[in-house]
Amino acid sequence: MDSVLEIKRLRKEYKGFTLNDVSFSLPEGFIMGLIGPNGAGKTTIIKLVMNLIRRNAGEIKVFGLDNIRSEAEIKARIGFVYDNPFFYDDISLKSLKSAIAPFYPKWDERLFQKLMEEFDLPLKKKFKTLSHGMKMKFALAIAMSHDADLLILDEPTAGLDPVFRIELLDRLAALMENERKSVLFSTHITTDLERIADYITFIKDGEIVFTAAKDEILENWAVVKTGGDRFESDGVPGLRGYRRSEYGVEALTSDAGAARQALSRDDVLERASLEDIMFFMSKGERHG
Amino acid sequence: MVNLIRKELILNRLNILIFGGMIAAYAVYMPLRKVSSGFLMVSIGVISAFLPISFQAREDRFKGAALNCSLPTSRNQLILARYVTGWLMMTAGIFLTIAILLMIPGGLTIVHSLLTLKSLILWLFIISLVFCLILPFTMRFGFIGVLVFLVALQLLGTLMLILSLMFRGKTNAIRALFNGISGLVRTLKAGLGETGFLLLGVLFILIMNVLSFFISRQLFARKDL
Repeated sequence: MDSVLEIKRLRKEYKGFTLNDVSFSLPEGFIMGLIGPNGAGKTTIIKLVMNLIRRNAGEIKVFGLDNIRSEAEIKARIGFVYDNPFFYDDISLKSLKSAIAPFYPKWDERLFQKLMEEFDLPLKKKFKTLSHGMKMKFALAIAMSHDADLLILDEPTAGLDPVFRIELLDRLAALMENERKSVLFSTHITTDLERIADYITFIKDGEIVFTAAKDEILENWAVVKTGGDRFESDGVPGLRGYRRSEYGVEALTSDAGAARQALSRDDVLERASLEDIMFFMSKGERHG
Repeated sequence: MVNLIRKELILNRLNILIFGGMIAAYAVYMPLRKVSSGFLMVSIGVISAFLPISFQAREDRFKGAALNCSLPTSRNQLILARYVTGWLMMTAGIFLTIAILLMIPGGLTIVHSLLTLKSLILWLFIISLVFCLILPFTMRFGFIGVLVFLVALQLLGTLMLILSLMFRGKTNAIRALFNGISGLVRTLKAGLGETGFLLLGVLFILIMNVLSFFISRQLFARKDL
């Protein structure tokens, strides 16, 4: 399977934060969700892929090409949405489009006009007059109008109303089915990823905790609910984190099959959501 | 390159109109006050040079570098486009001044004195001096940095003036500096002759621009956005 994005041993040092030895790859035609708590390094990875910041070490290949040496060629095939779109505030959407569109050889003006209409965006309005959600929609319209082979979306659903969020996710899913595009999607809203992602990469404190197929994660990871007096951390195979409450203990395991066999009849094993995984891995009392 | 220049013009349209208006108003008003053509040339040159710097300031204000760097182009191309657009705008400023002077009474005489090889080279020299010095500085420290730099220069000048007054002109470093420069210019002019001196001026303008471009390129290549 060809990878559209391949990251190897990536490193970026800041004062007080280091993105350390990050490696993962995104196969062509799939959606990868990048999740992790605030400050984990999601945006740093995306900025490094887009060459907005310099890396200290490592390698990034997009469409098999080095992201710095073949920068222009690669970016012509990427649709990019920043978590906080940086368009000139005092310029109308029409002018912004006129400034940006000529850079993309595959710009589809009809599609752009259609998206503007669907997203209810007035071309004559200045960018500063838009709400955050509308700004995101405009950035999405730009990113989706040039037949990009890879969409890189940094928190694209933040600030969007639930109706549009679901519409957007459906649109992305359709894009995958019909045209085999690829998407790298960073978000805090893990339910969005449960709807559409094929792969999940979890990052915490600048390091990759895991990168795997979503179905594999949802199949193997589970939440064990047990009485506080019966709980022993060594007794749960694949334990990644737990929390105690007055009602007992909830524990996250990455080996649901083994945990199922090790538990007593009174314990409950439930499928872990991505939100559970993110919570226990970030805030749980112990993580492996 | 054409796309990059077009983008600069679209995103900075309002600034272009404002600066164009300022240059036009200045070109009309100053001859009425009977200022010398040299003074007019210097002031229009400085205003023109600040137009491309204002592009950089806007980019800084709107964090436009992140937008620019997400487009299918390289950072080197972005910087080259900023210099090319800058020179296009500054040249347009010169043409606008000349066009306006040709339309106002008494303007033709000024145009005649401006349209000599010596005047044009001097004009380009002034523009280059401002543009080539401040643009890399803006790129590194942002527009606020430029303002701090200009205010610091003012304060330094004031301090020098105060010191020279206190010591009755014996240690006027500014005067000494200008005397030194004009002495050097006189020596070069005498040594090289008029044509040689003008050629040296052109060479100096080119070197300033090339140096400034490479410094800007290096600074921008190292910039984290």
